[in-house]
Amino acid sequence: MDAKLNQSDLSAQLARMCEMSVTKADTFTKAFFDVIIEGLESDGIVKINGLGTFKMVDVASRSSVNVNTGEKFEIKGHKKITFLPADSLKEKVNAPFAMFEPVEVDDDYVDEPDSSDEEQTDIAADTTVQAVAAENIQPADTAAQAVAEENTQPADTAAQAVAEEDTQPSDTAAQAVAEENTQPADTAAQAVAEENTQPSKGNSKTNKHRYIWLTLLIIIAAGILCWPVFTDKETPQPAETKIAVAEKIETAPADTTVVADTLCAVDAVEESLPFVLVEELAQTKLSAISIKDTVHYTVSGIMAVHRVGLDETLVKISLSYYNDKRLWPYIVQHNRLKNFNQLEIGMEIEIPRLVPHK
Amino acid sequence: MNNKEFISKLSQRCKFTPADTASMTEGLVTIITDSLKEGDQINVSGFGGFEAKMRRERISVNPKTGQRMLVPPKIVPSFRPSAKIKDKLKETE
Repeated sequence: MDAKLNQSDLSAQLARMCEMSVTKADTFTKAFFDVIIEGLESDGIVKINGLGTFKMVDVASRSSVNVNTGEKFEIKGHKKITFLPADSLKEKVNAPFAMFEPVEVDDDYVDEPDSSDEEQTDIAADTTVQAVAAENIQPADTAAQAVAEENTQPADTAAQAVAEEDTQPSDTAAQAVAEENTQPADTAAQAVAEENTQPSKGNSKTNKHRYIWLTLLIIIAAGILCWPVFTDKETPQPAETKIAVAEKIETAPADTTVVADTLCAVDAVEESLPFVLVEELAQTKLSAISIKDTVHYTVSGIMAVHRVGLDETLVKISLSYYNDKRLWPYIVQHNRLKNFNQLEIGMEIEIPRLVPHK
Repeated sequence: MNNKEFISKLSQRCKFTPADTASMTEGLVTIITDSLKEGDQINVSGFGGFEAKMRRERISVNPKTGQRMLVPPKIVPSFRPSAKIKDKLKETE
């Protein structure tokens, strides 16, 4: 091992092998290498079975820079001797590593040796849970509003209220985390309960505008009451409730068109609008956090099919495709994943193309 | 120059029969192969040196398909010509 052999060593071995004198073997080995050189001179290529091919190769001239002076100069083209080992020689030399074969590398496998990445994903997971919670609360809120509106408005607004509710990503409610679910449910129930007591007191037409006025106030009051409950829990909350309020404004003008026949009702709603706007302004100050998160997307086609690799989470996949770790619920929803906490390696997931919803 | 031409030329020079030359060439090749297999270096003055080199594993990419392959580590026989042979061949140009 690691010995250095020279020509005389080769001759000695050859003499032993072929049972001849060392001098004879020595002349042979000398001649052997001399003939190779001669062959290279005359033909430019020498092929020896079992050993390989010696070849003369042209090297093109190229420009270079003198490291000391920075001067440019040209390296002239010249000839170079290359040796291409024969397959049998290659195989025998590579015998210790013969069992290895080239392996396909998964497309999305990336070396992530740093531990900071793990921390990142933890944070990401947290924020996504928050996002889901927020989304869950939002439909519940609007549902409460819709119920309230239905109670005070003529029956034909019901369809509209439902339609508006549909525009919300209420489908994510299916993925609700139990803990988060209880909150909006409570507030919704509360709102409904409060609303129900109001219309039962009286239905006389003359007082109708007062009831609308009152119910709207109660909704706002309920919102304010629920405010601390939401805010002390998570920071992104203000943004979500802001949307809820914005939704409220949207529903309010829509209602005015429906109840246009009763002028007083219109007045009442219009009067309530500035109120809501003031409230909204106050909330926007709190909710300076990125509004991008609250954009809703609709699915249009499939962007890619992803094969789940080692150590991948939905958050990581979402981050790699959408550049946003919070959009993973869309992947879950699109693939109808029942147990999205356990991805299997090699699982194929369709990545939906998301278009911002207007 | 292929193997046949090489052996005929070698036999002329050493005054051996072509059959003997062929068997001796084979013997020399097996000696070189075996010593490379053992990890030995062979240095022939005025010609060059043979050596077995270790190549580490690497990831290669197929530029057409973008498919990435993990190429395993391997041991490769290599030849390095001596300065003398280089000069000699330069002169003949």
